[in-house]
Parts: sequence; structure tokens; C-alpha cells
Amino acid sequence: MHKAFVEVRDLLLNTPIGAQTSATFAALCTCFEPALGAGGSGVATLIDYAHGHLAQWHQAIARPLPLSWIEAVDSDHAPSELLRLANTLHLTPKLLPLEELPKTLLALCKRTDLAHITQVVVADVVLNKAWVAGLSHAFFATTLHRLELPYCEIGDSGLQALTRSPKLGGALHTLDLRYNRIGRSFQDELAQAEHLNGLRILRLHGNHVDQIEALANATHLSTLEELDLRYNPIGPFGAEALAQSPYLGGLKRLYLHTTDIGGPPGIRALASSPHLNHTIRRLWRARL
Amino acid sequence: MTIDTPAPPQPHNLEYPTAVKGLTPETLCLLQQIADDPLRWDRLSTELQLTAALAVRDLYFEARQTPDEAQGRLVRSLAALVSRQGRAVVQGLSVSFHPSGQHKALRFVEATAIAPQWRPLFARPLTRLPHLAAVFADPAEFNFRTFENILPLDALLPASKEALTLTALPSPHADLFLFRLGGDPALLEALAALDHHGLYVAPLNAASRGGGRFIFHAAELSQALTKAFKPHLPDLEHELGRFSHVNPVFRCNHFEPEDPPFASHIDTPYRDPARGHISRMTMLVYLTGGQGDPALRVGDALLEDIEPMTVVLFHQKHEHEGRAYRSGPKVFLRSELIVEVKADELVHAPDAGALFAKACYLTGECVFEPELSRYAHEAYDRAAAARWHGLPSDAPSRVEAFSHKSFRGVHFVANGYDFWFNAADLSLEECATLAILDTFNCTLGDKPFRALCTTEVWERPADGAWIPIALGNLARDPDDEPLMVELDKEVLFPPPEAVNPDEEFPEELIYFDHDELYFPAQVARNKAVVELYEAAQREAKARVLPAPILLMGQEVFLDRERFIIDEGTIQVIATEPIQPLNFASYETVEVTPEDAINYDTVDVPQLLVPPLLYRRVGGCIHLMLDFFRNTWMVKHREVGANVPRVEQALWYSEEWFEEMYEDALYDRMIEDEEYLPKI
Repeated sequence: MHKAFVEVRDLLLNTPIGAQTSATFAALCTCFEPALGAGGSGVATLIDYAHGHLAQWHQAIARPLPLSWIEAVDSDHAPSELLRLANTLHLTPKLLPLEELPKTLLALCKRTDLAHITQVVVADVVLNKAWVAGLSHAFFATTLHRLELPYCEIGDSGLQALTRSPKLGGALHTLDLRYNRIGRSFQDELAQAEHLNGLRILRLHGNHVDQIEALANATHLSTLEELDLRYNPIGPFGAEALAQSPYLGGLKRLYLHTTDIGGPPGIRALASSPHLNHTIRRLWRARL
Repeated sequence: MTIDTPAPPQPHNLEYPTAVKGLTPETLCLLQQIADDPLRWDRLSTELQLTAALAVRDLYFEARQTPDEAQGRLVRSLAALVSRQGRAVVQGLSVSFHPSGQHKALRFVEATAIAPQWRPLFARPLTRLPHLAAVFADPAEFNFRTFENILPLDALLPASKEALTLTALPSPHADLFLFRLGGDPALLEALAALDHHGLYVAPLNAASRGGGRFIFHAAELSQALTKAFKPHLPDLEHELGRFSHVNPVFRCNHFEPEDPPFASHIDTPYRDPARGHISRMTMLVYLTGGQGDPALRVGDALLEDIEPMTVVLFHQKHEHEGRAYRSGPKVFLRSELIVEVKADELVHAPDAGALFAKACYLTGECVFEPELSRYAHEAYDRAAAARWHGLPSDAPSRVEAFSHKSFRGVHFVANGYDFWFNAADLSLEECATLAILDTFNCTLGDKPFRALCTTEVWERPADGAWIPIALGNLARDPDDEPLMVELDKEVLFPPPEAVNPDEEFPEELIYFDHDELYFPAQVARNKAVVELYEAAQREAKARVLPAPILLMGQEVFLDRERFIIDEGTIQVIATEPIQPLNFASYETVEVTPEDAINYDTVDVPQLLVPPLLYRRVGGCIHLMLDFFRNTWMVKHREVGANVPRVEQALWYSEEWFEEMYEDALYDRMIEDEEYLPKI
């Protein structure tokens, strides 16, 4: 028997069902990698060994989908049992050759057996509008809870593709668009995307956002608990808009630097906000 | 003469004493303008403000060398118009290199205790002690740890091979022991010269202590005197017990004939519980001779005529006072003889401890309410007397001083040991925090807590039974914001960006304006920047995350999980081991960073306090803070934790970062923005 199979078997035999932890799952992944690489009927054998455990883990563990499994998806060797282990697609140049990444992403987006994917993280790759559109129309897009696209340079057109997709909706609670060269269309797009009415975390730092009045007055963003606008030149008027927004009272974390809001005028606006919660107000008062 | 444009200070003329002699006519004109028009100060450029502040510094020290009181008044009035320049902090106190309206208490500190970027601005007017810099502190910031300024003077008072001698003199009273100090002529000469080094400062409680004084530490003098007393121990044993040594902390007093007397008082005995030491006899060494009315009274014993180098000993249980000589200066040293005691020789006296806590508190309060001075004086005396005689039972009608304070709409009553709050106004954690802020006079933003309170003195019955009714009329509006809020500390630490190995460090600052598309710097993904940021976060987290109380600006945030409330007690969880506080100890506290622009500064009071006792009575929470009980002493200091952020508007060269790593300047960058070169 392939050495890797033996390791998987031993690991599973020594791990009672129901007592699995993230650590045992990580160890399992380590064993699976070479086993899957060996290919052939051994994969089915592995699944037989693992079946009882996989059923438990499916609900209990959220982990990035291992690279070799993604490759197995493409080659039709990957067992659906394995795919169900992971609820996250995590694609970065560290995991996949850069030139392969968009293609793999689009291939995954077209699959119909990935409805359990609730989190997508794509980072450090330039995504053009078509790829972003493909992602936002993926079969699993309707159930996505978390979408993180940091450092992808999607730009205004990419943002448009995201926010205008009818598939991304109320299930989405985390949207991470930091460092994406998003600028002038930002507030129009996000402010009008009323179907994004379940967002709790919105990360926009490191963009070119300088107008946020419409965003601050978007009723569908009243669910926000965390808003990161650092390194955007929103200036004192932006700070005033945030401070006067009646829809941002639920914010628990507001990340901004004093330089982003034009110094003392912006600080004063946030410190005296009638709507922001008192902890946020006091953090700004502390800077006065 | 160009009045409006005097030459800005050049680096070379900032150095003291280069700038002392000969203020330029332009600078004198500038000072004249400030004196003529107090509003002018705010209109001056930064450079001119610095020029004026340096000039005030130099005039102040020149005035100290002349007996011309008019000149002194002139400098003081000028100083009142000048606001503090720089942001140096020493021993937890904000200090200024020049006198100002707020920073007017002169102190001498080791120059190395001042951050390097500010150090050159501070004068070193003591020619024999060039390592000591003159700083001006704000008395409103004083707490019991910083009331006194203890100078390290061993360098001035070295013992030689020749021993000091004490020759017993006939005493007019059984309670007094008199000696003549002789031997070691070099040390005697050095003692006599102490009067001439310009070390005197006004005492905090000048009304009752009078004259000028300074406190110093001199180990070799202590050892020499300890040896000199050895032959006389059989004669002293009855009063003294098991002699250990002369306390190396001395006070030097100087009285001119017109000075008010050193008011009648009882000395507060020294105690070092760890070593089993207490002081039992007060020692006075008269460096000058003269006649007073009387020069010294100890109980019933009077000394009117004192010869130079007379040493007087008396038991510390005796009330005593001293008056100036009829002519000539009266200069004397004061210290005490310390003895060893066994634990079973001492009785636990919590009431005396409470009284001592009140005395310390009232001393600090005198800065704001001078009429409390006599209550502080009385409390010290009662506490000191209680060490020897026990505390007499109070008459039911005895009146004490209470501070009624209001802090942001919350009223409370305090006397240094007891704190009363309206139960409806505050949580127990908030009550404990207010009591701690008040006791240690913590700095919020740039203001001491006590200066942020409005205070009035209530002279009321000591039993405090009237307080619930008095406070009940001053309850907060229940709709008001809570006084303190819990902070999600993680909000101070946004995670670093992912490293982009291809992200090179920019060589130049890219300017942008709103007419052009703004391309944000990707500098936050540069490997060196991310590593620096992570390291800075680790350092900040180590201080911030375990802290029960965070002070940011003038805001106070709590971590309620760091307060453990049990029946009748509140424990504030601290992270440092408990160490005894020696009131006469000399300590250098690390410099607190205040002004880093790339960091948000969080002050974290490092508190080691015994459990706070509390009870609920008549709608009030009554806290009792016996910080000095038994061996409980408090270590308190505020340390700054600079919460880092990656600044993208200012860029630094990659070479600079590399150099910073290589030269281990990282720590300095954490400490102060001055190390951040701006391109």
C-alpha cells in the first residue's frame, strides 16, 4: 500500500469520530496530498477510510480548499466527498501559477456541485471585468457569505460587475475590496446595490475613494458593523458624511486615520457625531 | 532693529549655557512685546516662541543668582505668558525647559532622564553638578510619588579616609541628644558648601514648612555618620533600640531671618517593611550657627543658641518646630536614625495607614485648594503620632476636609482613603477607576486628572454620614452617556497587509492632489514595512491587551474583564510584580512617548494596587483605598503604548529602513517621531 495511504489510515484510526480538530484535519490534508498525487484506485480507498470522519467535518470545519483538490476537480479525479470538506475557495499566486489562476477560477465558478462554497478569497492577481463578472455569477454566488478580493485591481469596472450581479445578495456579510483601485464610481455602485443588504464587514482601505456621501446614506448598509476606509482621501466632508449618517449607528469598528479625514476638522466631525456609537465617538474625541 | 523678525534660533545657540549670556536686542524686544501684549504670544511663529522661551529660561536662572526680588517678579510674570515648548516627560511628569504659567516648579533631574531630542534645551545651571538638568514641572501633576525631588549628591559629598566624629555635648533636656560634628575636614567643608550650589526650591507646602529646601541622597555621608554614631550607641540605646544606619536621604533647609518658621509638626517615620527597618530618631545637623526664639523646640525642650556643626537627636514621637535665626542664614540638614525591628514589635494600625493616605492625598490637593494645607499638616501629624501612641478616638463632632469633585458631570467625594459615589451614576469598575485616576492624579491627554475636575472643599463631620444625602442631590441624568466605555482593543490593531515581495520601497514621495487620480501607496505591502508594523504591534499589544484601564487623549476606556469584583472587594488585575514603594527612594521612570504622529498614543497606567474595599450605603458606593496598608505599597507609573499604523502620506527611503534595522534604532522610532526623517 502507498505510504501515504497508510498514514491516512493510521491517522483516521487514531482519531475517533467526533473528536476531530483543525489540527487533525491539517494532518489529514498533508497525508492526502501525496496520496492524491499517486492517483488511481487508491483515492477511492482513501475515501472509504475517511467517510465517517468526512461526514462530521463537513459541518464543523471551514478551511481553504487544498490546491491539489482543485487540480483534481479539473481532472475529474476529485471526489465530491473531499470537496465538501472545504467551504472556502482560496486562490492566490502562492497556491496556483498566476497564469492558471483566472482560468481555474472561472472553471470552478461554472461547476454546479460547489453550492456549499460560502467563502471565496482571491488575492494578489489582477482580475479583469470578465473574471469578476464570472465570479459574481458563479453558481455558488447566491450563497456566498464572504467575498474577499484584496489586491486584485478590479477597478471601477470590476466593482460594477460585482455590485450589479443579481446573484450576490443578502447572504453576503463580508466584502473585502481593499487595494483595488476603486475610485470614482464607488459610491454610486455600492450605494445603489440595494440587494447587498446583509453586509456586516466592508473593507475598502487602500483605494481611491473620495466621495462617500451616498454610501453614508445608503439604507441597505445599516447592517454594517465594521467599515475600513483607511488610506482613502475622504477628507473632512467624508468624515462629516459618516458622522451624520443615521444608518451607521450599528458600526462597532470604523477604521480611519486622521490623515484620511483631513485632520482636526474630520476628527471633530466624528467625535461629535449624533449617530455613531459612543465608543467610536470617544476614540475620535481622544484624538482631539 | 527689526522687531518682528529676530533671527530664528540656530542649533548652536540652543545649547545651554551658550545662550545664557547676552540676549540679543531683538530677543529682548520680543520679550518686551510679549510683556506689553499677552495676546501676542499666540500670534508668534514657532521659531519666535522658541526664541522667547529660551530667553525666559536664561533670565530665570540669572534672576536666581541675584537677590533682586523685583527681577524675580519680572521673570515670573513673563514666564506666566509663555506656554510650554517641547514635550519632554521625566518621571511621569510633563516638564518644560523654561518656566511657564503651568510649569513653574523647578526641579533638578539627571539629564539622561530627558529624551535626547529635548535634552539640549534644558539648562544645567549647577556648575558643580553638570549632570543635573533643570526642569520645570506642573505642580498640578504631582502625586505622592512625585511630591519630592531627590537629588543624587554623592559626587558632592565624598567621604575621605578620615572619619567623621561626634563629640557628645551637654543637653539642656533629657529628650535631646547633642553632639559636635568634627573629623573629615573635606567632608565638613563640602557640607558647609551645600548651601551655595543653588539647589534650593520652594517646598510644596511652603506655608507650613517655610524657607528653601532640597532633598538629596548621599550614601557616603550616611555611612560616615553611621560610623560616627557607633561609639555613642550605649547612651542612645534606650531611646533608639537596634541601630542600623543613618537614612541616606537628607533634607537641606535654609531660612533667612525674615522667613516664616518651620511650623510645629511630628515627623513621619520611615519604614521599610522588607528589611524590617523603621526610623526612630530625627537627626538635625546645623551647618550654620545662630540664635533663634527658639531656634529649635522639641516638646518642652528649647534650644535658643546653636553653634555651627551641632548635631541634635530626638525621638520622632516628639512634636517640634524651628524658627529662623535672628540674624544670618540658618542652614541645617535633616535625616533620621534607622533601627531594626522584628515583625512582632509592630502593631497593625490600619487607622494610622488611612490617615497617612489622607495626608498624602490632601498634600496633592493643596495645589488646587490651598486651604487644605492645614488639614494635610494635621493628618500627617496625627498619622505620625499614631505610630507611637496609637490613634486617639475621634470626638463625634470632629470636622475633616473632604474634596467634593465633579468630573464630566459625575460628582464624588474623596479624602484620599474614602471615596463616595452615587451608585446610580457609575458601575463599580468606573468607581474604582475614578478613585485610581484621582489618587495617582493620572494624566489624561495633557492634563492631570485633578485639573480636569472641579473641586470644592467641604469641611464636614468626619464620620461621613452626611455624604449620601449630599451626593443624592447631585445625581447624573440617567440619559447621559456612560462616563467610561469598554473598548474592543482589537480595533487598535488592524491586521497588517499581506506582503507583496514585488513591492519595492518607493524612493520618492509622490505628490497628488484632487485634480488628478490618486494612486494610493502600496507601501503597506512592502516586506520591511510589514515586518516593522508587526513588530510595533507586538510591542503595543503586550502593553495594551492586559491593561484594565486605557487612557487615550482625555478619554478613559475600561477592560471590565480585568476587574474582579467579589463581595466587598474589587481587584484590578495588574501584570507587574508588587514592589514596595519607598517614599524616600530615587527612581528614574522611563520616558513616556507623547508625540508620535505615526502612532496613536495610548497611556496605560501600570497599577499595582491592593484590593479595593467597597460597600453600598444609602444609595452610595463607598470605596476604601488603603494603598499604604501594612506592607502594601503601590507602584504606579503611566507608560505609553504607541499603537502603530503605516503612514502612507509620508514615505521613507528603503535605505533608511535598512539602516534602522542595522543600527537597532527601531526602539527609538517607537519612542518618538523625531527619529522619523521626513522626506
